[in-house]
Amino acid sequence: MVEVNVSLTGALANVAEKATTVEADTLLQALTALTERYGEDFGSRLFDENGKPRRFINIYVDGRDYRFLGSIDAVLSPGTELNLIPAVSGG
Amino acid sequence: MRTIGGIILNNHIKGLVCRECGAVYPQKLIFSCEKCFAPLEVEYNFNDIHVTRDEISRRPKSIWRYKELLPLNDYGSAVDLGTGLSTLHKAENLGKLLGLNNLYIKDDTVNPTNSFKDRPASVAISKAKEFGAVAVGCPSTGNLAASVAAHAAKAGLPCYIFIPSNTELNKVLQASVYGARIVAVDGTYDQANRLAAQVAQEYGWAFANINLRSYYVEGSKTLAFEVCEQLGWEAPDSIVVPLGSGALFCAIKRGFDQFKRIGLIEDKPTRLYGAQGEGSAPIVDAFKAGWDDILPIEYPDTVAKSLAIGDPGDGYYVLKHLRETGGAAEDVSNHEILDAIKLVAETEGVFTEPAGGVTVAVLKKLAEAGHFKPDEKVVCAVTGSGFKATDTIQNVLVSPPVIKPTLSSFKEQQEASTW
Repeated sequence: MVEVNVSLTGALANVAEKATTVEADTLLQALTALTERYGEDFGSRLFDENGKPRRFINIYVDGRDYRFLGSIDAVLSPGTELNLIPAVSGG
Repeated sequence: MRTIGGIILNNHIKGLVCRECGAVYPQKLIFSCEKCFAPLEVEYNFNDIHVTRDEISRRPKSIWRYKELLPLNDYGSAVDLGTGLSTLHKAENLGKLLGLNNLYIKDDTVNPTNSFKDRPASVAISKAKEFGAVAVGCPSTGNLAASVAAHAAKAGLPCYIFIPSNTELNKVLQASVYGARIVAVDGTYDQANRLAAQVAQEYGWAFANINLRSYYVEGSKTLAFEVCEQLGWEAPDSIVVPLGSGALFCAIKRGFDQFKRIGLIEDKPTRLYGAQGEGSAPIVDAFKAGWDDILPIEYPDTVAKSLAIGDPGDGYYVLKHLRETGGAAEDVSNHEILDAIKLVAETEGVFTEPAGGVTVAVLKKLAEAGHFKPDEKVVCAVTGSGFKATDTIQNVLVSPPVIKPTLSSFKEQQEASTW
């Protein structure tokens, strides 16, 4: 497993921490590790009832939306920066 | 009036409510539900709102004439540059070309910073003042940058603007001249947006379309309010709206719904149509494919840079409203966009930026496909001035001929007909 740097923004940070590190090989493992650390309350905010990341959370792996990586099982490299941010509108 | 902690609360405002799970929050700097992260909306005590058409008609010509449906506790502290009641042109020349007898153009190029963004910026910066913010700002594709910067200047607040580094020069220039600190991000709008969200949290600043978002979008509703008032207190049959994040589109839907709810207009359906540029059309793609969710675009590419948002925050709701209202969404090529800029300028005297070219080109496409009946009232939203994007538009214009200052030279030019 490799060490991954995680930063959390908005309401996610309120139920966890603004920044932390986890050990994981894949994105899904990293998200699961965060859920194990911060509990079900955090997990239910991150994943919907079907076990998929919630529609209104954006997950970035080294600045790229995870949806462009092809899969939630995308392999992470040492020192990967993982950002979890509630989706915001804009324009 | 109620007060909490010394802050006067407006009885019209119930608080913030989650669009998905219905969780209710007091008024504060927050941009998503703490339980499910869905967007929060301002909820009003509609039973406490009693305002008549006559009362509104007598008020100043600004968005604050609809104050009962705007989320400020003290309307006297509104940061108002005079935004609103922009012209609703009866577009007879363009209508004739498209076979539409009642076509209107809502011309938001005439707002103080020349785009519709003055509507939400006025509300957002007013609200920032009310919250006692020490600094304001926004991520922007360009138009919001100028608008937030101008309102921040008026409010006397420091302002931080995050823009993609390829933003049109005039938009950067405009925001800079109001004294904002410009952060040009080497990346897309979506990346600038993400950075701004992190900065807002880190420094506790109030960003218009991030932690003030729920209040900010309320300003955009006023475009719908004005259209109804200008049509003689009636909603149009159809409206064509540009789609970037989808926030304006959703706000317009809310505007029509709220005017019906408080009895200012009849309960008549309006079809909502969305417009995007090819290469940056994730909402149109999802609509046409019948998806419920948006598949984001990593590198949006269109001449309509103010609409170049690959991951539209309100896209999911736009899809719902398109389908519920019986509307549709279309995209158009760069060539069609630039042609439409000339078309609306030459037929109606309105000079739009490429985003307006998108709506006009989509209007044309929809009209040709038979989406509108000849006599129905169709409104096309032109949301920003052409002067903001001259570097793009000048590429399709021919330089004027230079002649000698003599009548014979003019005659020579006239006879050659090379205008």
